[in-house]
Amino acid sequence: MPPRIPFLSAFKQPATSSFFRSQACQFSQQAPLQASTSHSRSAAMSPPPPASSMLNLDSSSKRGGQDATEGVSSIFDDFRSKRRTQTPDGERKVVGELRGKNISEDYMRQMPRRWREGDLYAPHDLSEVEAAKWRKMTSVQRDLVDLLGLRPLDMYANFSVVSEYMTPHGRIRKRMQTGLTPKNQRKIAKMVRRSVALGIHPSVHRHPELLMRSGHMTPQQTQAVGKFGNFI
Amino acid sequence: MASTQRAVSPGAALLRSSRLFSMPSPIAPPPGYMSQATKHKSETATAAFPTHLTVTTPSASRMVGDWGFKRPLPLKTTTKSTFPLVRVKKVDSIEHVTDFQSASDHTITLEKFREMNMSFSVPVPKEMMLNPTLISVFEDGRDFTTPAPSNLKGAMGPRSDGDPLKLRWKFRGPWLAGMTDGEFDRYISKSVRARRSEFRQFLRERLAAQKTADRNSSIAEQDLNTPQTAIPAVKAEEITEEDLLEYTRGLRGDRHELFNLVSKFLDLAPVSNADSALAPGMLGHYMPDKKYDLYRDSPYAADGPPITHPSAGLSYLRTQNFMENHPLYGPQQKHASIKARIVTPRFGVTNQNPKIGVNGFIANIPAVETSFSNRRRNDSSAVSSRDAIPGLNDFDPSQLGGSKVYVQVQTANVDATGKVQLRLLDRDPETDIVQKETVGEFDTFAHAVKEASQPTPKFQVPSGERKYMPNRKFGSAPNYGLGGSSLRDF
Repeated sequence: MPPRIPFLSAFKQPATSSFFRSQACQFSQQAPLQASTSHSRSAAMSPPPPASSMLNLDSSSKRGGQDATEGVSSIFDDFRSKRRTQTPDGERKVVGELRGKNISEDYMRQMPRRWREGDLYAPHDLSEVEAAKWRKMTSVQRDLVDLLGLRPLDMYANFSVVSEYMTPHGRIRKRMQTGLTPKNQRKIAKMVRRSVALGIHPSVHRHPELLMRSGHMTPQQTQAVGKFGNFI
Repeated sequence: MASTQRAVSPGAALLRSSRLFSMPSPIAPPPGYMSQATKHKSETATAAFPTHLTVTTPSASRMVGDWGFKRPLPLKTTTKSTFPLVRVKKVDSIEHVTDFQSASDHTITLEKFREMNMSFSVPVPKEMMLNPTLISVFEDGRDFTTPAPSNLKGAMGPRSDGDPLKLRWKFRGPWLAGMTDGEFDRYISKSVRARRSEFRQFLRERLAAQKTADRNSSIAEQDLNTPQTAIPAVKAEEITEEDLLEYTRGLRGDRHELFNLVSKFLDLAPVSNADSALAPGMLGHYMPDKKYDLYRDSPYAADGPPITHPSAGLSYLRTQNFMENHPLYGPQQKHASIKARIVTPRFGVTNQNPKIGVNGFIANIPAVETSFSNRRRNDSSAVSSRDAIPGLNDFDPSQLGGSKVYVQVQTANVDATGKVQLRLLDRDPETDIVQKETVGEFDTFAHAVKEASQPTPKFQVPSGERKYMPNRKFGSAPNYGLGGSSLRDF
């Protein structure tokens, strides 16, 4: 929607030229600054009588038209600047905010621990030594098969589970990584072999359906960040 | 008693009173929930509660490494800290060293917790969170572990709101809702299966009691003159196998009664009946023409009974309803605010609820709408949470030492894994200012002068947003809306 132009200013200048000018201003960094300086200048000047500008509509650019145009554009800028506040450097407020958000996110990547209600912390827990430990992938310490009461041999058709116990190259994960007891590790290994032999799960890589969704499953902490971060 | 004060040799007496022998064995570590089953964890992170005794020593002894153990502890690591606090994991290990580490994390946290003057209360159900009635865990009707008659008397008071047996905090059986499938299978096979014959006997007794009651009532209906004591009660031995089979079949169709019997037999911790018992869809599980005793949930039904005493021995205060006095401003309506750390802001790499660290305990922000809540980002009023609490939404690297916020803590309780849960309240700006002034972070007088000397902003309401903005001032009492310049002129 074009800006509403007050009655007096409408007669000062053909509306089309001022409108296009201000539209062009929207995309340039310098123009609003000029406009804000000209605004104070034009406010000080007295407006020409409306009847004379009515008579000289086609030659308005010659007689004081510059000031009237700036007057209209300054109204539009006034209207616009309420939404986009600027810092003194000419940078938009939103840009500064987004840049700050990138910096915050970079810092938060260095603090990977997910705190739960009731956890205790001492100064040591907020140190970088501790943060590095939470970032590192360690082996699972508890036997998930026993913990969850799973029956691995019945789960050969569940390729999500099978994939969990395979490397990206299709090998069975070793006990150091799975954290299973010898008994359950044998069961899991048999489940993987059975699944591959039946053609339910590929033998060389992950299941295609899992690969399709892997974009959603990648934790944000390990996702690639663009040159300017995620927000700008 | 004579037996305990048996004479021992001087050497034995010395050993018994020594630190070496008076070290208690460590308690079980906190149930790590699933943290041990995950890939991201730290062995050296501070545990949710201490398991080992903290040992201290006088400074003169510390300087020579004498902590009362078999061998002196190394000076390089034990003399640097302000407070001599050590936890000894093994007095004498196989490598001939004393295995120890600093215990200041838990010990100082305890000290900080005591400074909060916090009292522990029975957990409040979620639906009553807005205006909770806080009951201390030390009240007579709550603080008992066995269903003794004297305990029941206290629990059956006028304010009793549930099955008095279920108000206790300790149960012999597990809390089923908190078990994993594997744990449940193991519990069934190890503990429950072996007690089948015992359960049949238990059912026999119940059936006998039920039959006695039925017979008594039928006789009383027929003939009012026969005294009930004259009729012998049905004994458990008189119940035939057929009767028992019939009774068991009936129980299978009556889930509510069956669960009551099983949970009584195994002394199971209560589980929440909010979903099952009172939901309209579950009415089919009730027998027609039968009276059921439906109680409100036990306070520990939703999140499980605590593994320790519900105060965890951290505080023995019964209430927080006492008034603090300020040397200048007099008695204060609210307790002094506590300076807390914003440990996790709202928008990090993954968005989550912000976590506040209060004196070493991680707490959630209040569940209800407060100044901690996430308001609209484009809220033009000056009190959006981003401005009100800097650092709560996004991590603020410019804050030296991390972002802080002053909080009010309502109460504390211990959850099923032995962790302390602090319930935060909304911030109270006035109390915060009083506390800030007390610790020298705020100058009330200078602030008042500054506020009075500022020019009054022009009154203009933006056309798009006509709404009530309570915190915006268009004039102040001293200048009657004339503005700061006029104050200086006159």
